[in-house]
Amino acid sequence: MTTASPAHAPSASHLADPDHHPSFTRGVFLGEIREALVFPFPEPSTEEKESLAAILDAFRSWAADTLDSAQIDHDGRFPDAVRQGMAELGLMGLNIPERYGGFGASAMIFNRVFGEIGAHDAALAVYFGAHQSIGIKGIILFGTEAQKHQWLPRCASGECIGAFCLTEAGSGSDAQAMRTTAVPSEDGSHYLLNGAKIWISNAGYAGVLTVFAKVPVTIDGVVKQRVTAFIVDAHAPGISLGKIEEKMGIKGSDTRTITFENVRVPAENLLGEVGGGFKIALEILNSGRLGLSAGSTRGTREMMKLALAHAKEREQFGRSIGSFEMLQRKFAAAAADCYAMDAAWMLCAGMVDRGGVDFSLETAACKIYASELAFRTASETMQIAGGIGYSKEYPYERALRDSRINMIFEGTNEVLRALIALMGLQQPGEELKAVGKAFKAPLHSLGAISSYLTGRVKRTLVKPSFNQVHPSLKDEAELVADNIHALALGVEKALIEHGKAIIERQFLQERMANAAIDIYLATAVLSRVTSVIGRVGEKEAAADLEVARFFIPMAMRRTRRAIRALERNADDAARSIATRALATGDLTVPTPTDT
Amino acid sequence: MKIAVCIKRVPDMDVRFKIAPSGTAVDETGLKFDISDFDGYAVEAALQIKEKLNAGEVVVISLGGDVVQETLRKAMSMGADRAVQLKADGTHVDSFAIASALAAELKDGGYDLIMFGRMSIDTAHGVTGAIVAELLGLPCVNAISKLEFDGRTAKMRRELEGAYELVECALPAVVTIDEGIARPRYPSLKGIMAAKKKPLESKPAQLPAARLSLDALALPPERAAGRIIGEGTAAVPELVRLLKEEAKVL
Repeated sequence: MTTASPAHAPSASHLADPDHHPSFTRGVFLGEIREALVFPFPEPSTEEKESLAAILDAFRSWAADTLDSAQIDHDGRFPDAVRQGMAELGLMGLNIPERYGGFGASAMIFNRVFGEIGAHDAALAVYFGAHQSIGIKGIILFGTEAQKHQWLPRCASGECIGAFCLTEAGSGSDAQAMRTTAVPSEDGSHYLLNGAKIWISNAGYAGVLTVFAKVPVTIDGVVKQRVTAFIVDAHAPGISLGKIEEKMGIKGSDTRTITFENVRVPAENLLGEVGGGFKIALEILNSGRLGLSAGSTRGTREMMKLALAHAKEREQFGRSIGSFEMLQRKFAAAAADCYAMDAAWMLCAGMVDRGGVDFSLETAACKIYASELAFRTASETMQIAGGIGYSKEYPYERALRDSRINMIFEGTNEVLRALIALMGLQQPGEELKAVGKAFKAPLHSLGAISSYLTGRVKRTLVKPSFNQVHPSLKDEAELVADNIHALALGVEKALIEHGKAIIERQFLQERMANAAIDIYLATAVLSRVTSVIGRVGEKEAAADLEVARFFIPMAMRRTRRAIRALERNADDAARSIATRALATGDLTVPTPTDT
Repeated sequence: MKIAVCIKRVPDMDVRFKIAPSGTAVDETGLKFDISDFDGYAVEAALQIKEKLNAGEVVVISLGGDVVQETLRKAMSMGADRAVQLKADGTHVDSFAIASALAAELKDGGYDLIMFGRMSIDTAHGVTGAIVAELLGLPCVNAISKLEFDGRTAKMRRELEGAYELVECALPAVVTIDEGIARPRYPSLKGIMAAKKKPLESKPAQLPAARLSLDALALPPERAAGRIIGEGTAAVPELVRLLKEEAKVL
């Protein structure tokens, strides 16, 4: 393997390095509450707030004059004025550091703006996100000084748009299965890139691509393929674009296949080190998921505004339909979910900005919850609007189509649930393995056994607790702490029962992930409301407290059920039914006919 | 060319206003504020002059409490070079007093051109610019929609009903700006960043005693609720009868 020269070393200190940095959710799997990671709730500085207000103000007045989302959806493309306007506003350089011509926004500011763009137009948010959240994020995080100087100023001005090229026909969630190759030339001056990437957002607009390809590396005489990241000039000879995909939603976003045929990529365009591509892809996606979360949440709020206005206006049986409790349940649930989701992504953005924290499980949690919230709520708002919701004349059906993609791209929610569970299981699993080994030679391993047993005794007897939550949320904090305790015990039991096979037990992984997600959101609410009370006092925070007391018990009821089902479930039946359905390719239950 | 643009902070007009308990001011809770529309055109026109000549300075001036700093900052994020706040808390309704304070600031500023919006969109007096010109002994052209220069001569166009007027005057001069001259730009992120570092000077406004006071504000009477008479053609005769006899509009 090549070793990283200092010039190639990642310059960002805030990366979510799971090997070195503490993680809140990993702690949860061990029954620990790492309070220092989630308190105090991050608040932007006064200067940041002023900048944010100015940026949002400029964007909103521009959008009001320029954006026609129904037209964009109809045409399947942005008018030139839209892309030009985004560039002139400077938004295409929002998270590019100042010294490369960008604004250098913190994660908090970047994602607030992302949310605002998403609330106005989902396709535009994808254009914006595919450029900055993932397209050029690799250069920002891992580029050398020379690479940054070469690309970022043009990216910041919006002259050069970025795209992220990871997915292939045979390699979606399973990035290791990729077939695109980059073979170094004899003299080492360049690589020859061959392969095809699909579903590339911004493909038609792109000036620069972050491409992942396998590079053959000889280790001990054996040739191995190592996933590696490259910066590729989108106009290089040998690159061809497929036709624009006709999609269900986010139609303004330009999505295509990009084919690479003997594309010469100069060696200096290597991003990071050879073989470092997989980690780079994960890092980019980790932080990219936050924008999607903020956008989905803010978009949800915007759709609900329409539905609320409709529910207030529309009368049936001589009263507004909003006065019926079946609709009120929908509004309350969405309000609480949005409050919790905002708390969750902001807390996470705070971790990104603070640095030294592994936030990978939390960004995954945010992406899953926010994308499902947005789609669920889009469906609810359509239901509230009734017939007109189904009409193309109103934005409800577009919201439903636009929001669907969020559960699929930037990591499917299924793969992210597995990621949360498996990463959460890592440490408890290793502890158990060490103990298992130790028991084979107990005399030599008393230390390992006794330290495990101490931990185990501690986990069983001593419930963790929150110490920084405001006293008025004592009951809710206890509820969350109880569930953290229960999850850790449930996880341990499952590990003892299933051992290594836990990797295959996705029925269980899904429940663990769901529990961990709800626990993170509830914790974020505890942190946010505690901060609000600190700022305005308990009396003024009454509405926040009310939402917290509504959301947390609701989320913890779900969590309790998920944890209980780690032990008591009908998974064997589910597996059998699913296996039969897969074998016959049909859901029909083969009931024997009467004789 | 050294240009001063006098701007006013006004509430967003697309809302339903409430009157504050004092009865002489608008309830500001929940209101959004921005540069008054015509003043925004003036800022844009000034910036375009500076960009065209590739020289000069654009100074924005506003009278008011510290909240106007946000408005001045916005003008600087659009591109104005520096700002002056003439600090005066409370509400001021006497245009002559305001013009006097502005004139005191402008007098020794060495400005070639002093620009105003043709009126503010909240109180719409439309006289501050003219009074400033009078106090400074400068020529004044109101409500211009086009502005060019020929050396030290300003050439302007004013829109009239079905016609226009071309006017010339020597600099220095005071002009008030009508819409149509230039669409105000949106502040860019670069502009917002740069504005943070631009100088904003705050000094007490030299306001003479007001000779005008605002005694009361009132909202127009509420309109009566609409009435649905019936549906389809069957309802037409009754509708016509009501429009004739009750509403008396036919």
